[in-house]
Amino acid sequence: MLFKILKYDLLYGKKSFLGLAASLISASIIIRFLVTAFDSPLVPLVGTYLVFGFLNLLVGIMSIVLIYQGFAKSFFKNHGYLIFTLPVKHSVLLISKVITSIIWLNFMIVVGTISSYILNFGHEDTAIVFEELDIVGIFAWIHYNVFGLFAISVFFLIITLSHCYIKKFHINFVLASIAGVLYFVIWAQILQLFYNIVDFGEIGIGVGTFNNLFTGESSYLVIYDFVLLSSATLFSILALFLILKLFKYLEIR
Amino acid sequence: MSNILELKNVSKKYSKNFALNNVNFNIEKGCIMGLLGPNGSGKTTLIKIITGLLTNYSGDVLINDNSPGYFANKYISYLPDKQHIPTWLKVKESIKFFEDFYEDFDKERAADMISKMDVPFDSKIKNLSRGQIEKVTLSLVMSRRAKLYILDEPIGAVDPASRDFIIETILKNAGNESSILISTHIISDVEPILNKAIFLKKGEVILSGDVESIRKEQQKSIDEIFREVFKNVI
Repeated sequence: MLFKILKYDLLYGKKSFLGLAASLISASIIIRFLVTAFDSPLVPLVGTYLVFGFLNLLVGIMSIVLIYQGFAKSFFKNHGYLIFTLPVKHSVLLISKVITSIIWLNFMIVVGTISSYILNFGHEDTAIVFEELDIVGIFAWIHYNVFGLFAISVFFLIITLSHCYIKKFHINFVLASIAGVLYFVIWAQILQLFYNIVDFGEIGIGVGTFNNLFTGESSYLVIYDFVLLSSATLFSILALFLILKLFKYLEIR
Repeated sequence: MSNILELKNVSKKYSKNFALNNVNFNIEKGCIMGLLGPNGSGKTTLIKIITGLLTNYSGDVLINDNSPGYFANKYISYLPDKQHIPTWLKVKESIKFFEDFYEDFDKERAADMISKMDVPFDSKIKNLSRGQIEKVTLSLVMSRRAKLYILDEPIGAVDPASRDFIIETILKNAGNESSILISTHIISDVEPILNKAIFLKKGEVILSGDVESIRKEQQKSIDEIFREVFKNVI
């Protein structure tokens, strides 16, 4: 049943995400053409890159809106009357939504990378950046997915909470968002507490951390990163579990 | 006769008010029951409990010996009072959707019913008229070989010609082994097809039984009884 529901979840966002991808790639081709054809004195280089950056931001926001719609519309609007009366477990319905969102997030990162490559094609620095995208790239991709999962789970938790009626009391979106932020703060505090107890010293995270992991400069960093990723995964699972529990208080109207 | 649906002491409270208060009734195989009451009497709440859309209630509900939920949903074909088919689907995709999720769905029957209505299969649901959407939805719901059909206000918002089509479709497609629970506040059109009726007022059952017995006992049609009982409520 998971694959069947996944098929329709993907089908729902297909056109919109493909449209976004097409616009981003077209924009990068056009900008690239303008930069090469007219050279920088005629076309303000900074301006074109700003436009591209703005487009990227817009595509990111649109992706979040589409993920929101995919979740909220099919669960809490009229379609909920169909979705929640299917002979499918609620957990399967929820997992399908999460997988769909992760797929789209990955699709958009691939599209973003392709469009950046088109825009910077021929530059010496670009070649270096893409050459170094091997192991560091994979590591960054794992982080992107784990934190993507965490963000999506908390986002879904907020949306679900904002559709709950507990003893006729409606938890509105503002209250639900505060609860979502608190959930994130609790995770950060627990993590901080753990680090304080274990005492890792002054180490930061970022690309440097990934490099250190593979050069073996510090075994602490490996543990640090493992704790970071596993705690984020654990809190994502907990958020999804809470959503399933909250389904009891839902009222589709 | 064995029961396909059993409700025992079902209550649902919103804050301090009862939306349903101690509701008890059964539906046997092959029975067509009318769930009658004015707006706000608790009909939709009761249906939401049976279909598993509302889980926060007290009492016992059994559908073919199963509690409401995803497993019991295999036996129920549900038509809500809302447009619940995703509007971004094409008509032919909505048929495929039902085929994918319901083992008892008769694809040929659905396609046949929809083609008779001159609805283009390649049209998106959102591009159809309201009447066409309601007919397509009903065709999909009634093309399942379900044990229990639950129809929430199927004729509430349609013109008289469409009402005939809907009632005809319901009668034609529900088999002898299937039971139907029809919720409505428009009695006259559905009265001829009902075997049993249950009157709901402010969440409580105020009258229930065989339609024939009620008519004989009260010397009135169900429609007349309804108008009399609810004259101050509607």
